[in-house]
Amino acid sequence: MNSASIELGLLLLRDPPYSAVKLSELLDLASSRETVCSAADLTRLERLAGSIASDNAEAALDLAAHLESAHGDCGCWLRAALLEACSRFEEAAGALRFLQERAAGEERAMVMLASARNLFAAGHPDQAWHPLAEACKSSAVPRTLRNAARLLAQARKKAEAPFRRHCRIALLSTTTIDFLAPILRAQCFGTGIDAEIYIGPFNQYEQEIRDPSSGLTRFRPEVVAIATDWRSLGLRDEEDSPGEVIREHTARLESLWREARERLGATVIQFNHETPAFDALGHMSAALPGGRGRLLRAINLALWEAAGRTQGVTILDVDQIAARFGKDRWTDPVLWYTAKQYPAAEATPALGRQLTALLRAILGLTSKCLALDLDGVLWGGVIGEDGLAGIQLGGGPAGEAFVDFQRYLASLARTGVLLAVCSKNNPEDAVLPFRQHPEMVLRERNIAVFMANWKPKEENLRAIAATMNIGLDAMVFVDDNPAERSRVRQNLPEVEVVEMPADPAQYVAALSRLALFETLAITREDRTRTASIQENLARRTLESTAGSVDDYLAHLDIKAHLAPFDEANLPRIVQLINKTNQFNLTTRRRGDAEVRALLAAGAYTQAMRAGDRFGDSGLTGVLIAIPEGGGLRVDTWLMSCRVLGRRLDEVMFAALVRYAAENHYTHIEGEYIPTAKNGQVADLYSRLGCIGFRWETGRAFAAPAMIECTDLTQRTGAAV
Amino acid sequence: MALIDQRLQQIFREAFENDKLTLTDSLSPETMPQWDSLAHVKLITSCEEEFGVKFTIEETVESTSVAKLKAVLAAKGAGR
Repeated sequence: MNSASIELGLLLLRDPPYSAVKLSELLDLASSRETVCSAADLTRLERLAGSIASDNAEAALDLAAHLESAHGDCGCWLRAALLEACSRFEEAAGALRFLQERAAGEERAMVMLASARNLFAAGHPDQAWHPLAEACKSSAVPRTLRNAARLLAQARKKAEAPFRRHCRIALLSTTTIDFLAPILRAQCFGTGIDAEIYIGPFNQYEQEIRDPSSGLTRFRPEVVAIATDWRSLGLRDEEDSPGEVIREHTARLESLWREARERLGATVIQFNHETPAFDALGHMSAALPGGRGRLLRAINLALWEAAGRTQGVTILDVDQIAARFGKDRWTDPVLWYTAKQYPAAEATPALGRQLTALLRAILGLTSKCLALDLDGVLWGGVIGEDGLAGIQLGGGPAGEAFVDFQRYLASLARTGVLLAVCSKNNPEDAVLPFRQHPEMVLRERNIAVFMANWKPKEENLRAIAATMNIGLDAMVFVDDNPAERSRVRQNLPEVEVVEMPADPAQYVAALSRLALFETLAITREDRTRTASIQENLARRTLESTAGSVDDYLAHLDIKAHLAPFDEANLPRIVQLINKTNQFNLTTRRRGDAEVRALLAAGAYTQAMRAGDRFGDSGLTGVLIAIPEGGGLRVDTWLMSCRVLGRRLDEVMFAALVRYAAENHYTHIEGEYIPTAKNGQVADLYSRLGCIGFRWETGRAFAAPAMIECTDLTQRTGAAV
Repeated sequence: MALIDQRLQQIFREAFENDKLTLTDSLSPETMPQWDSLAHVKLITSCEEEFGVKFTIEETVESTSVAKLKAVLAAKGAGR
């Protein structure tokens, strides 16, 4: 179906009553399954339905009944719109269900939003949140996202929305950025963030950050985004002393970051600067030492360097986002001159999406595992049928696309993303390319968990998550088969299912556009994560052959190393504080600045590294105890799921008891704050022998003898 | 209701977050206090998207009532 035939359909429909001839022509049109309508077509059909229904509801319902057998995309959509316009929400939602699986891209976002709208109206909020989130994740159109944000605001008054985290975000800008707020709110919802947004007054970011009585201060932001656009720097075409300009600008922003960190305790997202599309000096703008194009690039680099020196500051690469979107369209000159709107309205979703990805990283919601189908994803063809020589991999256009996709995946794995295989195949067929195909980039050592069998994929995905000890909401699933995707969406709504394009040439772009794996830092633990999961599998094999648990632990040769927090281990500590769910007594999320504040206030801290004969698990335990009323209150205690069940909690507690005794604290006071995920530590303190949550100094606590422990936390005075 | 009115009414309902709003030619910033500069940007960009047209500076500044907006759209041949 194309716009011309839609046009014809519109003409046919404009003058009711519909003659039999017109109706049959219309039904032919509505039954056509040739191609999907464009988003603009869908909008027009929706308006048309509204117009028909407002003139004559009976005629609208009559037409909807005629359309029931028309299974073209356009027919389904028109029928749903007619039903919705006549308040038949339940039936409208039913008509849309079929389209959800067929539509792609922006059209899919519209179908999802309409589904959510009708499901809410029909009184099924529990079924509506998922399509609403899908619309928020996949749309790139401001109007659709704004409408999604509005629907969200209305719906959450009546039912509880499935948010994972709440976050107060302040946007301070040198341009009109109000447009971004509803769009960002929708995009945040798509990833489970309940975004409370503050927009600072136009171009007053300095005053807002420095003034203790500003609206920003009262808002108590957790994240402050500073959006300085390139025009606000006031650079001339060519500057006489470029070095000075760079230093001055960087120093000014650095001092604002410090203020935001120290006074507001907020994490900072600093926007870097677009190198504009137009410049009077043309290419010389970047060639001349003082040219504006060159200066903007140099300032951007200087900002990255400064952020690298400062904890809790991240740069949003606006220049790259603009380039990807297209700089010719990034600025809308009419709206710039009339409303100081920047970037263009149509560019705002691209900006919001990347901002959301950084917020995900700040809040510890970054996806952790990428579960991959094999046939049609890592290579073309079917290994079980085509054999090693028959699959497409390298040596041809499609084969090269698959090789490049594998390279992209291997790079993700090197930064800490866990790769898993989740494939319907005979296991011996599935491993063959990994072992023998010369063009394979991914090898078995790159795959943390390998599941090739004939079980339903949702079952395998559950098993993969359990093996990795991560939540289903940290998993991303990639499959070229729409039926498998739909099945996983149905059964495991928490899993992020990527809408893969049909053509392998588009795979890398489709996955990278979602920005699911953005992180703030790449730690040593991130780089060795795959190996650590594989070591865990080896440990389980040992466990199944050992007699008792203590036997098994003794065989492991566990070594623990306890140290106070310092500069080197702080990024990993903050990462753990913000993402650990299961072994986490209080689940208090804190940014870098807040942790430093606790240290400055004299808290006792423990960072535990653990290792055994199979490998080093890295920094996996964190404890913060605050002196209070003559005792120590355990404010934070968590362990990474990599090291659970190994009596390391006893090692940490023993060190704490020792410290309390030697420094004359009268007691230790524990605390447990229940969440949906930390049930396993509900009775930890009583298991350790506390009375209630209290441990009186003077009692001895014996650490497990089979664990060798180095404890550097007994010295007073932290190293930060 | 004519299709062009239906389409414009929806744009206004979305921009002003009011599903009960009825479109009349006399709606303007004078009769609607919520019609501020941000709402104006929403209206203009939504019209551009809905009708596939681009407003000039002058058209953007001048479109300060439903009647004027419709005149601009008609002059562009949009929404027939």
